[in-house]
Amino acid sequence: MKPERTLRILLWIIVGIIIVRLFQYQVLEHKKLEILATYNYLKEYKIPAPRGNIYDRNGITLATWKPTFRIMAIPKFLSQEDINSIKTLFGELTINLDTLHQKGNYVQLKSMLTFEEVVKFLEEAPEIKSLVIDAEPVRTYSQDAKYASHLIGYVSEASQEEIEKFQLEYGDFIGKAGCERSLDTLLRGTPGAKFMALDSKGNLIDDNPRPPIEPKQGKDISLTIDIGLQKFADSLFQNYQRGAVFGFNIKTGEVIILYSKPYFDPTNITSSWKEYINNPEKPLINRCTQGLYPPGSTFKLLTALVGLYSQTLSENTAYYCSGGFAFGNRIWLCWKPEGHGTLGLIDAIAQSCNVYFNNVGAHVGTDNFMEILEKFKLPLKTEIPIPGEAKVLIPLEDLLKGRYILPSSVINWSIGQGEIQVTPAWLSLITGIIAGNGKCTLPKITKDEQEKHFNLNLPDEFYNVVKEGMRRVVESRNGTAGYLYDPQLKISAKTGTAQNPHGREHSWFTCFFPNNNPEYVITVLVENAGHGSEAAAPIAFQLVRRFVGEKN
Amino acid sequence: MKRIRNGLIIPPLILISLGLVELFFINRGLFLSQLSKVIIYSLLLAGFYFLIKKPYILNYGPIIYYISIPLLIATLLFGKGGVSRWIGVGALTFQPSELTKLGLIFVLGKTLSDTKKTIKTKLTKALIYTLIPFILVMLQPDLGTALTLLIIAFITIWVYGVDPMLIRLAILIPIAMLTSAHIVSTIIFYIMLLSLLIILKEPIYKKILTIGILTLTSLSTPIVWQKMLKPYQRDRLTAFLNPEKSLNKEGWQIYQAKIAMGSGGIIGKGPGKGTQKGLAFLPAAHTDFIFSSFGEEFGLLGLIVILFTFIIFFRTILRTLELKEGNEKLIVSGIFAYFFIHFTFNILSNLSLLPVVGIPLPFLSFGGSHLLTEMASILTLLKLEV
Repeated sequence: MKPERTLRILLWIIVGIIIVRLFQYQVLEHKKLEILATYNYLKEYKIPAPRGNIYDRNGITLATWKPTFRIMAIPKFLSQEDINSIKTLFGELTINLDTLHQKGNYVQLKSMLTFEEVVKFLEEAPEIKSLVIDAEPVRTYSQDAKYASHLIGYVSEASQEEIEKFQLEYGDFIGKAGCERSLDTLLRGTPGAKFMALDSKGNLIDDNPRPPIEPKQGKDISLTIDIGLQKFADSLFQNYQRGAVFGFNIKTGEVIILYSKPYFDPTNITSSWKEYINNPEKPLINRCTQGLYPPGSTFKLLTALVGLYSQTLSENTAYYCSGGFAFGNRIWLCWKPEGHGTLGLIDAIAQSCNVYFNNVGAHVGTDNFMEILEKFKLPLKTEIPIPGEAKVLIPLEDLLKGRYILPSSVINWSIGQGEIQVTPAWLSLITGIIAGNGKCTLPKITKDEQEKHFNLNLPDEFYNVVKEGMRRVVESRNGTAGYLYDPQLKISAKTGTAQNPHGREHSWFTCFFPNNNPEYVITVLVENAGHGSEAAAPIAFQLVRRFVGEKN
Repeated sequence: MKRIRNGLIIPPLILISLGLVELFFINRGLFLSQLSKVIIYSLLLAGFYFLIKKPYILNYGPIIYYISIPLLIATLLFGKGGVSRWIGVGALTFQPSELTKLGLIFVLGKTLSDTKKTIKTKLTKALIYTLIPFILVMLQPDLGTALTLLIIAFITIWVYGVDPMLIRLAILIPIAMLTSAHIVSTIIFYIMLLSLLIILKEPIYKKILTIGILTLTSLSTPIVWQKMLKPYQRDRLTAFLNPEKSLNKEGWQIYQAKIAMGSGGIIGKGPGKGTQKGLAFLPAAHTDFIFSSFGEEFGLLGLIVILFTFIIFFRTILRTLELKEGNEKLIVSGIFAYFFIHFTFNILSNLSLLPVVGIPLPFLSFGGSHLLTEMASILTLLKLEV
């Protein structure tokens, strides 16, 4: 074949290939590539969404947001020179500049800048085209928010793990505790986007090539607590270092108070982080849901129910208290050295006689005690939507596995000592169960949450006996809180004085009101403050007085 | 005669105009620069056309080759930028390797048409003439130009008419190179080669020579690939296989070119409406990728106009080729090869069918060196028609 002819054929073959390929690109894949072309020069940058506000039950703002400035980098276009000048400009940065590109295509270098700082930066900064200043909404808390800091929680920059788990970007904020954490997905909102047209070298060609997508602020949340009551609780605690108050509505589950002392200020949590972490008083611990304490005499309410259920105890069972109870070769002393004399169940609750309940426990027996508690199927947590709630430790076979259980253990358990450890929130739930004749709604922190119910189906007589005892705690002259009796406040209660290895007894007081139609439960714990009737009870009375007064 | 003359003048004029139109929409500065080059070169070459007679071109054409070789060496010594392809005099920069291509065409024509020498001497000389600039260009390193020189030599020698073994070798060598990428493909290649050689009725020494040369190629290619090619060159050569995967590297340009053409569709986005080149997503939109940026704005229809203009041009050259003899025929075939390689390599690499080796699209791409060479080639063709 002559070369001319071959070359001519070759020409047509190549033109044929070209046209087929062009048909593929420009006809078949046209739609897809057209979209790619638009995305190509438009670079999308995230606009962070403001978090939703947090209100208390009366609409008082506890948490909102304010705009601040931040300096962002576009790592893709950062040259080594730029990195060097950033280093001289900012000094130490928390972020490693050399691995910046792994953090995303729009990375925060500095945040929380004031307007003045931004102006200063603009004056000093050389032309680093890959740096962008933008506004960022930052969480702010009201002055009084600290009184409910354990319920509200706080936000801080998402960790690497959280970034991966929630598909966030470096520098994004996330709730770390309290409802900021548990309701984070609601509060977080939807980030918007702004667009910039950039060429391949990163030069800005158009800073507004298409309208930005506005960020959507997170949902507002109304908590069921009253910040005024929280603040009032704090004033009642001024003589005490550590303690907690938990209260909720047993019919709706709404938490009316969640106070834990010491508390922290959510506003400056990041700057004071080390201080909070190293504080021996552990202000970051939510004592209502995370603090485990021996319940002391408050546990007698449950002992009474166990006894009644076991049929070794009835309303009329009487035991004699001489001031001590002997079992094996040990003697348990009653808090009243001279003894209570002969008592029935109701008076035993009212006067909180240890010996009486030692007797109840001894008659039930260690194994039976655990079996009955097992049958009650009590939840070990209140399931309140606040992260990190501690599981209580009550005498259940599973929970005590590996511990040394003696036949005499039940003597300790019956008066809320020994292995038993509960949280103020959980104890409130037990009081609520008794108040509601077995029916109680589990605590919740916002109105919108679904109600979760618990029912301990025991005969009403059982509850009525215990409740009568609780009424007499306050209304009987001999009751442990009798000296606080106020006919206006229809409170039924139980005091507790919990011995513990860490110094003075913890002072407990758990109550429900009103007597005839129980609606609210409040539990007060004051660490190392001695008798329940002395420290915790007056605080609870003041709170109830204020709460009822405000409601009317 | 007049038809051929028109076929040599009008298509290049159309293509140059289309290139200027696209450059106008890419960047006014580039457009004015290219326009002034077109005008200056046209005047310069028109003057040449009227001053110089046909025998002069045939006799003195090889001088271009002898001028360009020292320039290539100079480029290596004083070249500008990381890739020493350009040589500068003041503000003017020039790429001597473009001129070498035309010089080689003249030298090969003259050498191979020398009736006094034996075929062996002529082929040896032709090979040496090709290898000298080839090596110099490889050192720059400019793979595209080196390849162009080789293919120009190959087509010229093929048109001259040589032993089919040489043609066969020329086709088999690249295949040997490609198959040497993997041991399995290498083995398959040699099994097929051996069966081919058994079927062919040829003297045994030719068969041994063929196997020897190909074995040498297979063995040396991996060494060249690993040791002699710079990483950026390897990237260039492989990126086209998978442009989406190697964004930010060489593949990025090809990928952007695909987006440019594809988003243009059938009728294009309209003059000046292209976003790819307008926002410099195609960094080489005005040079290597002008085909793509033209396709973005003028669509499939615009590109077909370019393609058919080229076809008319190539057919005219092939028509001339049929009518010519001896030295003139060899020069025409060299010029055809020159245009055809540039055309094929440039467009196929725009379409990610071949690696990007930095070859301009004749007449359309921005740049003076190739334009001057192209216009000089057309001047030569016109002169041969007289």
